[in-house]
Amino acid sequence: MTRRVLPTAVMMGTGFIVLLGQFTQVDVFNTLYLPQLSSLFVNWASILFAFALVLGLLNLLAVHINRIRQRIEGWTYSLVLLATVFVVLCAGLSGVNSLSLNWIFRNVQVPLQATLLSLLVFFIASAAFRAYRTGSRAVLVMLVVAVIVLLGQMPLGDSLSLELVGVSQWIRDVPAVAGARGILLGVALGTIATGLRIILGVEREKFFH
Amino acid sequence: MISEAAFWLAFLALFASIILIRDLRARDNGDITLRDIAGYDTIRNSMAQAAEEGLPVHLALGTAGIADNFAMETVAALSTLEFLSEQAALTSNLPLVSTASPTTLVLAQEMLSRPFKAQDQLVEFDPLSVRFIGGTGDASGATYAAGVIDLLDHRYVAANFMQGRFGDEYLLMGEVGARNHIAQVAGTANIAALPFMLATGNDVLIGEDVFAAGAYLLRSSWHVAGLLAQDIVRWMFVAAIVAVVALKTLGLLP
Repeated sequence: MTRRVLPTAVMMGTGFIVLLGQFTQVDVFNTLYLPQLSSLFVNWASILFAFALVLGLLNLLAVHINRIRQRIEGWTYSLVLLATVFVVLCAGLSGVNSLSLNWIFRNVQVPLQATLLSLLVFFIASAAFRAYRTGSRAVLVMLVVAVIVLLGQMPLGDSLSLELVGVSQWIRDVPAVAGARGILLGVALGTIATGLRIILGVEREKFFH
Repeated sequence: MISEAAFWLAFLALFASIILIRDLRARDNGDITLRDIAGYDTIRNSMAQAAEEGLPVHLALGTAGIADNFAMETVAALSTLEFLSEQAALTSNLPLVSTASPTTLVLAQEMLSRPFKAQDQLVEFDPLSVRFIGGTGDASGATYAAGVIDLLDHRYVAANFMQGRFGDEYLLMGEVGARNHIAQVAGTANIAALPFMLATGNDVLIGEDVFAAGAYLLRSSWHVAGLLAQDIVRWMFVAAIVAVVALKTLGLLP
Protein backbone atom coordinates (compact mmCIF):
# COMPACT_ATOMS: atom_id res chain seq x y z
CA MET A 1 0.00 0.00 0.00
CA THR A 2 2.71 2.50 1.11
CA ARG A 3 4.82 1.49 -1.88
CA ARG A 4 2.06 2.68 -4.20
CA VAL A 5 0.56 5.60 -2.28
CA LEU A 6 3.77 7.35 -1.18
CA PRO A 7 5.41 7.65 -4.62
CA THR A 8 2.06 8.73 -6.13
CA ALA A 9 1.64 11.40 -3.44
CA VAL A 10 5.22 12.64 -3.98
CA MET A 11 4.70 12.71 -7.75
CA MET A 12 1.39 14.59 -7.50
CA GLY A 13 2.70 17.01 -4.87
CA THR A 14 5.85 17.79 -6.87
CA GLY A 15 3.82 18.20 -10.05
CA PHE A 16 1.42 20.66 -8.42
CA ILE A 17 4.26 22.68 -6.86
CA VAL A 18 6.18 22.94 -10.15
CA LEU A 19 2.99 23.88 -12.03
CA LEU A 20 1.78 26.48 -9.51
CA GLY A 21 5.33 27.80 -9.13
CA GLN A 22 5.15 29.06 -12.72
CA PHE A 23 2.48 31.58 -11.69
CA THR A 24 4.90 34.03 -10.10
CA GLN A 25 2.37 36.89 -10.26
CA VAL A 26 0.05 35.19 -7.73
CA ASP A 27 0.83 36.52 -4.25
CA VAL A 28 -0.38 33.43 -2.36
CA PHE A 29 2.02 31.19 -4.31
CA ASN A 30 4.88 33.61 -3.66
CA THR A 31 4.07 33.63 0.07
CA LEU A 32 4.26 29.82 0.02
CA TYR A 33 7.64 30.02 -1.80
CA LEU A 34 6.28 27.89 -4.65
CA PRO A 35 8.40 29.55 -7.41
CA GLN A 36 11.57 28.87 -5.39
CA LEU A 37 10.50 25.28 -4.67
CA SER A 38 9.68 24.84 -8.35
CA SER A 39 13.20 25.97 -9.35
CA LEU A 40 14.70 23.66 -6.74
CA PHE A 41 12.83 20.63 -8.13
CA VAL A 42 13.84 21.51 -11.68
CA ASN A 43 17.49 21.66 -10.51
CA TRP A 44 17.08 18.26 -8.88
CA ALA A 45 15.90 16.93 -12.24
CA SER A 46 19.25 18.10 -13.73
CA ILE A 47 21.13 16.17 -11.03
CA LEU A 48 19.06 13.06 -11.76
CA PHE A 49 19.89 13.51 -15.45
CA ALA A 50 23.61 13.36 -14.58
CA PHE A 51 23.13 10.07 -12.71
CA ALA A 52 21.04 8.68 -15.57
CA LEU A 53 23.85 9.63 -17.96
CA VAL A 54 26.20 7.29 -16.09
CA LEU A 55 23.65 4.48 -16.55
CA GLY A 56 23.39 5.45 -20.22
CA LEU A 57 27.16 5.21 -20.62
CA LEU A 58 27.17 1.77 -18.97
CA ASN A 59 24.39 0.67 -21.34
CA LEU A 60 26.38 1.93 -24.33
CA LEU A 61 29.53 0.14 -23.16
CA ALA A 62 27.63 -3.10 -22.48
CA VAL A 63 26.04 -3.09 -25.97
CA HIS A 64 29.38 -2.56 -27.72
CA ILE A 65 31.43 -4.93 -25.56
CA ASN A 66 28.77 -7.53 -26.37
CA ARG A 67 29.18 -6.80 -30.09
CA ILE A 68 32.95 -7.20 -29.88
CA ARG A 69 32.68 -10.44 -27.89
CA GLN A 70 30.25 -12.01 -30.32
CA ARG A 71 32.07 -10.61 -33.39
CA ILE A 72 28.80 -9.17 -34.69
CA GLU A 73 29.08 -7.51 -38.13
CA GLY A 74 30.73 -4.11 -37.73
CA TRP A 75 32.34 -5.00 -34.38
CA THR A 76 35.49 -3.08 -35.32
CA TYR A 77 33.43 0.12 -35.18
CA SER A 78 32.51 -0.83 -31.62
CA LEU A 79 36.24 -0.97 -30.84
CA VAL A 80 36.62 2.54 -32.25
CA LEU A 81 33.68 3.68 -30.12
CA LEU A 82 35.18 2.23 -26.93
CA ALA A 83 38.54 3.87 -27.70
CA THR A 84 36.77 7.18 -28.34
CA VAL A 85 34.87 6.95 -25.05
CA PHE A 86 38.17 6.35 -23.25
CA VAL A 87 39.91 9.29 -24.97
CA VAL A 88 37.01 11.71 -24.33
CA LEU A 89 36.74 10.62 -20.69
CA CYS A 90 40.47 11.24 -20.21
CA ALA A 91 40.20 14.62 -21.95
CA GLY A 92 37.34 15.56 -19.66
CA LEU A 93 39.19 14.72 -16.43
CA SER A 94 40.41 18.31 -16.11
CA GLY A 95 36.87 19.69 -16.41
CA VAL A 96 34.18 20.29 -19.02
CA ASN A 97 35.91 23.50 -20.17
CA SER A 98 39.29 21.86 -20.72
CA LEU A 99 41.15 22.77 -23.92
CA SER A 100 41.45 19.18 -25.10
CA LEU A 101 37.72 18.51 -24.66
CA ASN A 102 36.83 21.71 -26.50
CA TRP A 103 39.27 20.79 -29.27
CA ILE A 104 37.59 17.37 -29.69
CA PHE A 105 34.15 18.98 -29.69
CA ARG A 106 35.07 21.67 -32.25
CA ASN A 107 37.17 19.50 -34.56
CA VAL A 108 35.46 16.11 -34.38
CA GLN A 109 31.90 16.32 -33.05
CA VAL A 110 30.76 19.50 -34.82
CA PRO A 111 32.17 18.64 -38.30
CA LEU A 112 30.78 15.09 -38.07
CA GLN A 113 27.31 16.38 -37.18
CA ALA A 114 27.46 18.99 -39.94
CA THR A 115 28.54 16.35 -42.46
CA LEU A 116 25.69 14.04 -41.53
CA LEU A 117 23.09 16.82 -41.65
CA SER A 118 24.41 18.06 -44.99
CA LEU A 119 23.37 14.69 -46.43
CA LEU A 120 19.78 15.83 -45.84
CA VAL A 121 19.75 17.52 -49.27
CA PHE A 122 20.26 14.20 -51.03
CA PHE A 123 17.90 12.40 -48.68
CA ILE A 124 15.18 15.00 -49.42
CA ALA A 125 15.59 14.44 -53.16
CA SER A 126 15.48 10.68 -52.70
CA ALA A 127 12.42 10.86 -50.40
CA ALA A 128 10.64 13.22 -52.81
CA PHE A 129 11.24 10.87 -55.72
CA ARG A 130 9.97 7.87 -53.75
CA ALA A 131 6.94 9.83 -52.59
CA TYR A 132 6.24 10.84 -56.20
CA ARG A 133 6.33 7.19 -57.26
CA THR A 134 3.70 6.20 -54.68
CA GLY A 135 1.16 8.30 -56.61
CA SER A 136 -0.65 9.31 -53.42
CA ARG A 137 -2.69 12.49 -54.02
CA ALA A 138 -1.74 14.03 -50.68
CA VAL A 139 1.94 13.49 -51.34
CA LEU A 140 1.63 14.87 -54.90
CA VAL A 141 -0.06 18.02 -53.53
CA MET A 142 2.75 18.34 -50.98
CA LEU A 143 5.41 18.02 -53.69
CA VAL A 144 3.73 20.55 -56.02
CA VAL A 145 3.38 23.04 -53.15
CA ALA A 146 7.02 22.43 -52.15
CA VAL A 147 8.18 23.16 -55.71
CA ILE A 148 6.09 26.38 -55.91
CA VAL A 149 7.36 27.62 -52.54
CA LEU A 150 10.97 26.74 -53.42
CA LEU A 151 10.78 28.50 -56.80
CA GLY A 152 9.10 31.50 -55.19
CA GLN A 153 11.94 31.90 -52.72
CA MET A 154 14.74 31.56 -55.29
CA PRO A 155 16.12 34.60 -57.19
CA LEU A 156 15.16 32.65 -60.32
CA GLY A 157 11.50 32.87 -59.25
CA ASP A 158 11.43 36.66 -59.80
CA SER A 159 12.56 36.33 -63.39
CA LEU A 160 10.17 33.44 -64.10
CA SER A 161 6.99 35.11 -62.91
CA LEU A 162 6.08 37.65 -60.26
CA GLU A 163 2.75 35.84 -59.75
CA LEU A 164 4.70 32.75 -58.72
CA VAL A 165 6.41 34.74 -55.97
CA GLY A 166 3.02 36.06 -54.85
CA VAL A 167 1.49 32.58 -54.81
CA SER A 168 4.48 31.24 -52.88
CA GLN A 169 4.13 34.02 -50.31
CA TRP A 170 0.36 33.44 -50.04
CA ILE A 171 0.88 29.69 -49.47
CA ARG A 172 3.35 30.44 -46.67
CA ASP A 173 1.19 33.14 -45.09
CA VAL A 174 -2.29 31.62 -45.30
CA PRO A 175 -2.75 27.82 -45.71
CA ALA A 176 0.63 26.88 -44.17
CA VAL A 177 0.14 29.09 -41.12
CA ALA A 178 -3.49 27.97 -40.73
CA GLY A 179 -2.48 24.29 -40.89
CA ALA A 180 0.45 24.80 -38.54
CA ARG A 181 -1.73 26.63 -36.00
CA GLY A 182 -4.33 23.87 -36.15
CA ILE A 183 -1.66 21.24 -35.49
CA LEU A 184 -0.07 23.33 -32.73
CA LEU A 185 -3.44 23.83 -31.01
CA GLY A 186 -3.95 20.05 -30.99
CA VAL A 187 -0.39 19.49 -29.75
CA ALA A 188 -0.85 22.03 -26.95
CA LEU A 189 -4.08 20.36 -25.81
CA GLY A 190 -2.46 16.91 -26.00
CA THR A 191 0.51 18.16 -23.98
CA ILE A 192 -1.75 19.70 -21.33
CA ALA A 193 -3.92 16.56 -21.13
CA THR A 194 -0.83 14.33 -20.71
CA GLY A 195 0.63 16.69 -18.10
CA LEU A 196 -2.63 16.80 -16.17
CA ARG A 197 -2.86 13.00 -16.21
CA ILE A 198 0.62 12.85 -14.64
CA ILE A 199 -0.21 15.48 -12.01
CA LEU A 200 -3.49 13.72 -11.21
CA GLY A 201 -1.51 10.51 -10.64
CA VAL A 202 -3.11 8.65 -13.53
CA GLU A 203 0.14 7.94 -15.36
CA ARG A 204 1.80 6.54 -12.23
CA GLU A 205 1.85 3.06 -13.79
CA LYS A 206 4.38 4.37 -16.29
CA PHE A 207 6.81 5.61 -13.66
CA PHE A 208 6.57 2.97 -10.95
CA HIS A 209 4.74 -0.28 -10.41
CA MET B 1 -10.80 42.40 -14.73
CA ILE B 2 -9.64 38.77 -14.42
CA SER B 3 -5.85 38.38 -14.33
CA GLU B 4 -3.96 36.23 -16.83
CA ALA B 5 -2.79 33.84 -14.08
CA ALA B 6 -6.33 33.38 -12.75
CA PHE B 7 -7.58 32.70 -16.29
CA TRP B 8 -5.01 29.95 -16.94
CA LEU B 9 -5.50 28.40 -13.50
CA ALA B 10 -9.25 28.32 -14.12
CA PHE B 11 -8.61 26.83 -17.56
CA LEU B 12 -6.41 24.06 -16.12
CA ALA B 13 -9.00 23.33 -13.41
CA LEU B 14 -11.73 23.15 -16.06
CA PHE B 15 -9.62 20.86 -18.27
CA ALA B 16 -8.85 18.55 -15.32
CA SER B 17 -12.54 18.48 -14.32
CA ILE B 18 -13.58 17.52 -17.86
CA ILE B 19 -11.00 14.69 -17.86
CA LEU B 20 -12.31 13.40 -14.51
CA ILE B 21 -15.95 13.57 -15.63
CA ARG B 22 -15.22 11.96 -18.99
CA ASP B 23 -13.25 9.21 -17.21
CA LEU B 24 -16.25 8.32 -15.07
CA ARG B 25 -18.45 8.24 -18.18
CA ALA B 26 -15.86 6.22 -20.12
CA ARG B 27 -15.84 3.63 -17.33
CA ASP B 28 -19.64 3.34 -17.46
CA ASN B 29 -19.70 3.20 -21.25
CA GLY B 30 -16.69 1.05 -22.13
CA ASP B 31 -17.26 0.76 -25.88
CA ILE B 32 -16.47 4.30 -27.00
CA THR B 33 -15.73 4.36 -30.73
CA LEU B 34 -12.61 6.24 -31.76
CA ARG B 35 -11.88 7.24 -35.36
CA ASP B 36 -9.38 4.99 -37.12
CA ILE B 37 -5.73 6.02 -37.06
CA ALA B 38 -3.86 3.81 -39.52
CA GLY B 39 -0.57 4.15 -37.63
CA TYR B 40 -1.96 2.62 -34.46
CA ASP B 41 -3.64 -0.19 -36.44
CA THR B 42 -0.23 -0.99 -37.92
CA ILE B 43 1.43 -0.96 -34.49
CA ARG B 44 -1.33 -3.16 -33.05
CA ASN B 45 -0.90 -5.78 -35.77
CA SER B 46 2.87 -5.59 -35.98
CA MET B 47 3.89 -7.65 -32.97
CA ALA B 48 2.08 -10.82 -34.05
CA GLN B 49 3.51 -10.45 -37.54
CA ALA B 50 7.00 -9.81 -36.16
CA ALA B 51 6.74 -12.89 -33.93
CA GLU B 52 5.78 -14.99 -36.97
CA GLU B 53 8.81 -13.67 -38.86
CA GLY B 54 11.03 -14.11 -35.79
CA LEU B 55 12.20 -10.51 -36.03
CA PRO B 56 12.00 -7.70 -33.49
CA VAL B 57 10.25 -4.38 -34.11
CA HIS B 58 12.21 -1.20 -33.49
CA LEU B 59 10.80 1.67 -31.46
CA ALA B 60 12.71 4.97 -31.58
CA LEU B 61 11.72 7.20 -28.65
CA GLY B 62 13.35 10.32 -30.09
CA THR B 63 15.73 12.91 -28.75
CA ALA B 64 13.75 14.18 -25.73
CA GLY B 65 13.92 12.89 -22.18
CA ILE B 66 11.34 12.84 -19.42
CA ALA B 67 12.62 15.98 -17.71
CA ASP B 68 12.86 18.53 -20.51
CA ASN B 69 10.61 20.78 -22.59
CA PHE B 70 9.36 17.96 -24.79
CA ALA B 71 8.87 15.41 -22.02
CA MET B 72 5.15 14.97 -22.77
CA GLU B 73 5.94 13.71 -26.27
CA THR B 74 8.22 11.10 -24.75
CA VAL B 75 5.61 10.14 -22.13
CA ALA B 76 3.06 9.69 -24.93
CA ALA B 77 5.53 7.52 -26.88
CA LEU B 78 6.05 5.43 -23.75
CA SER B 79 2.40 4.36 -24.03
CA THR B 80 3.37 2.67 -27.30
CA LEU B 81 6.27 1.00 -25.50
CA GLU B 82 3.89 -0.14 -22.74
CA PHE B 83 1.72 -1.79 -25.39
CA LEU B 84 4.72 -3.38 -27.14
CA SER B 85 6.08 -4.70 -23.84
CA GLU B 86 2.77 -6.39 -23.00
CA GLN B 87 2.75 -8.00 -26.43
CA ALA B 88 6.42 -8.96 -26.10
CA ALA B 89 5.74 -10.89 -22.90
CA LEU B 90 3.02 -12.84 -24.73
CA THR B 91 5.08 -13.60 -27.83
CA SER B 92 8.57 -13.71 -26.23
CA ASN B 93 9.68 -11.39 -29.03
CA LEU B 94 11.39 -8.40 -27.45
CA PRO B 95 11.24 -5.11 -29.34
CA LEU B 96 14.43 -3.16 -29.91
CA VAL B 97 14.11 0.28 -28.30
CA SER B 98 16.45 3.23 -28.85
CA THR B 99 16.59 6.59 -27.14
CA ALA B 100 18.83 9.64 -27.10
CA SER B 101 18.07 10.45 -23.47
CA PRO B 102 19.44 8.56 -20.46
CA THR B 103 16.36 9.43 -18.38
CA THR B 104 14.15 7.75 -20.97
CA LEU B 105 16.51 4.75 -21.04
CA VAL B 106 15.97 4.00 -17.36
CA LEU B 107 12.20 4.28 -17.66
CA ALA B 108 12.03 2.29 -20.89
CA GLN B 109 14.07 -0.58 -19.43
CA GLU B 110 11.83 -0.70 -16.38
CA MET B 111 8.69 -0.56 -18.49
CA LEU B 112 9.82 -3.26 -20.89
CA SER B 113 10.80 -5.61 -18.08
CA ARG B 114 7.54 -5.19 -16.13
CA PRO B 115 5.31 -7.74 -17.95
CA PHE B 116 8.16 -10.28 -17.79
CA LYS B 117 8.44 -9.72 -14.03
CA ALA B 118 4.68 -10.06 -13.66
CA GLN B 119 4.77 -13.42 -15.46
CA ASP B 120 7.87 -14.53 -13.54
CA GLN B 121 9.81 -14.75 -16.80
CA LEU B 122 12.45 -12.13 -16.10
CA VAL B 123 15.11 -14.48 -17.45
CA GLU B 124 13.69 -13.88 -20.95
CA PHE B 125 14.17 -10.11 -20.64
CA ASP B 126 17.34 -8.64 -22.13
CA PRO B 127 18.07 -5.16 -20.70
CA LEU B 128 20.26 -4.43 -23.74
CA SER B 129 17.18 -4.48 -25.96
CA VAL B 130 16.78 -0.86 -24.80
CA ARG B 131 19.71 1.16 -26.12
CA PHE B 132 21.02 4.54 -25.18
CA ILE B 133 22.52 6.11 -28.28
CA GLY B 134 23.09 9.71 -27.21
CA GLY B 135 22.33 12.96 -28.96
CA THR B 136 19.79 14.49 -26.58
CA GLY B 137 18.17 17.71 -27.78
CA ASP B 138 17.39 19.18 -31.16
CA ALA B 139 20.97 20.46 -31.68
CA SER B 140 22.64 17.05 -31.55
CA GLY B 141 19.95 14.94 -33.18
CA ALA B 142 22.41 13.87 -35.89
CA THR B 143 24.27 11.77 -33.31
CA TYR B 144 21.09 9.90 -32.47
CA ALA B 145 20.26 9.53 -36.16
CA ALA B 146 23.68 7.95 -36.83
CA GLY B 147 23.05 5.28 -34.18
CA VAL B 148 19.53 4.49 -35.41
CA ILE B 149 20.72 4.31 -39.03
CA ASP B 150 23.22 1.66 -37.94
CA LEU B 151 20.46 -0.32 -36.21
CA LEU B 152 18.16 -0.15 -39.24
CA ASP B 153 20.96 -1.04 -41.64
CA HIS B 154 22.54 -3.91 -39.71
CA ARG B 155 19.81 -5.35 -37.52
CA TYR B 156 16.93 -6.98 -39.33
CA VAL B 157 13.71 -5.52 -37.96
CA ALA B 158 10.14 -6.35 -38.92
CA ALA B 159 8.86 -2.80 -38.46
CA ASN B 160 10.18 0.59 -37.43
CA PHE B 161 8.13 2.85 -35.15
CA MET B 162 9.44 6.33 -34.48
CA GLN B 163 7.42 8.25 -31.95
CA GLY B 164 8.54 11.14 -29.76
CA ARG B 165 10.62 14.24 -30.41
CA PHE B 166 12.29 14.32 -33.81
CA GLY B 167 13.72 17.18 -35.86
CA ASP B 168 15.23 17.33 -39.34
CA GLU B 169 17.41 14.33 -38.50
CA TYR B 170 14.29 12.17 -38.81
CA LEU B 171 14.78 12.11 -42.58
CA LEU B 172 18.18 10.39 -42.23
CA MET B 173 16.59 7.55 -40.26
CA GLY B 174 13.25 7.36 -42.07
CA GLU B 175 14.90 7.27 -45.46
CA VAL B 176 17.17 4.37 -44.46
CA GLY B 177 14.10 2.49 -43.19
CA ALA B 178 12.26 3.18 -46.43
CA ARG B 179 15.25 2.03 -48.53
CA ASN B 180 15.38 -1.21 -46.55
CA HIS B 181 11.64 -1.70 -47.22
CA ILE B 182 10.79 -1.71 -43.52
CA ALA B 183 7.16 -0.94 -42.61
CA GLN B 184 7.28 2.37 -40.75
CA VAL B 185 5.04 4.40 -38.48
CA ALA B 186 6.34 7.85 -37.59
CA GLY B 187 4.90 10.56 -35.38
CA THR B 188 5.98 13.78 -33.76
CA ALA B 189 4.53 17.05 -32.52
CA ASN B 190 7.32 18.99 -34.27
CA ILE B 191 5.72 20.51 -37.38
CA ALA B 192 9.15 20.99 -39.01
CA ALA B 193 9.69 17.22 -39.15
CA LEU B 194 6.18 16.25 -40.28
CA PRO B 195 6.73 16.80 -44.05
CA PHE B 196 9.74 14.44 -43.88
CA MET B 197 7.61 11.85 -42.13
CA LEU B 198 4.90 12.14 -44.77
CA ALA B 199 7.51 11.60 -47.46
CA THR B 200 9.11 8.51 -45.89
CA GLY B 201 6.78 7.00 -43.27
CA ASN B 202 4.13 4.50 -44.33
CA ASP B 203 1.78 5.81 -41.65
CA VAL B 204 2.18 9.17 -39.95
CA LEU B 205 0.89 10.28 -36.56
CA ILE B 206 0.36 14.00 -37.02
CA GLY B 207 0.68 16.32 -34.03
CA GLU B 208 -1.98 15.45 -31.49
CA ASP B 209 -2.26 11.86 -32.81
CA VAL B 210 1.01 11.21 -30.96
CA PHE B 211 -0.73 11.88 -27.65
CA ALA B 212 -3.53 9.41 -28.44
CA ALA B 213 -1.30 6.31 -28.09
CA GLY B 214 -2.67 5.37 -24.66
CA ALA B 215 -6.28 5.62 -25.80
CA TYR B 216 -5.78 3.64 -29.00
CA LEU B 217 -3.29 0.98 -27.89
CA LEU B 218 -3.93 0.55 -24.16
CA ARG B 219 -7.65 1.46 -24.23
CA SER B 220 -7.38 2.83 -20.70
CA SER B 221 -10.39 4.88 -19.63
CA TRP B 222 -8.14 7.74 -18.45
CA HIS B 223 -6.49 8.09 -21.84
CA VAL B 224 -9.84 7.92 -23.64
CA ALA B 225 -11.17 10.54 -21.21
CA GLY B 226 -8.17 12.77 -21.95
CA LEU B 227 -8.86 12.45 -25.67
CA LEU B 228 -12.55 13.33 -25.25
CA ALA B 229 -11.64 16.28 -22.99
CA GLN B 230 -9.23 17.56 -25.67
CA ASP B 231 -12.08 17.48 -28.21
CA ILE B 232 -14.38 19.46 -25.90
CA VAL B 233 -11.73 22.07 -25.09
CA ARG B 234 -10.82 22.33 -28.78
CA TRP B 235 -14.44 23.18 -29.66
CA MET B 236 -14.43 25.76 -26.88
CA PHE B 237 -11.31 27.34 -28.41
CA VAL B 238 -12.84 27.26 -31.91
CA ALA B 239 -16.02 28.93 -30.59
CA ALA B 240 -13.92 31.57 -28.79
CA ILE B 241 -11.83 32.27 -31.92
CA VAL B 242 -14.97 32.59 -34.12
CA ALA B 243 -16.66 34.83 -31.53
CA VAL B 244 -13.63 37.13 -31.23
CA VAL B 245 -13.28 37.36 -35.03
CA ALA B 246 -17.03 38.18 -35.35
CA LEU B 247 -16.91 40.80 -32.57
CA LYS B 248 -13.78 42.39 -34.06
CA THR B 249 -15.37 42.47 -37.53
CA LEU B 250 -18.48 44.13 -36.10
CA GLY B 251 -16.28 46.66 -34.30
CA LEU B 252 -17.51 45.57 -30.88
CA LEU B 253 -14.00 44.78 -29.65
CA PRO B 254 -11.09 47.26 -29.58
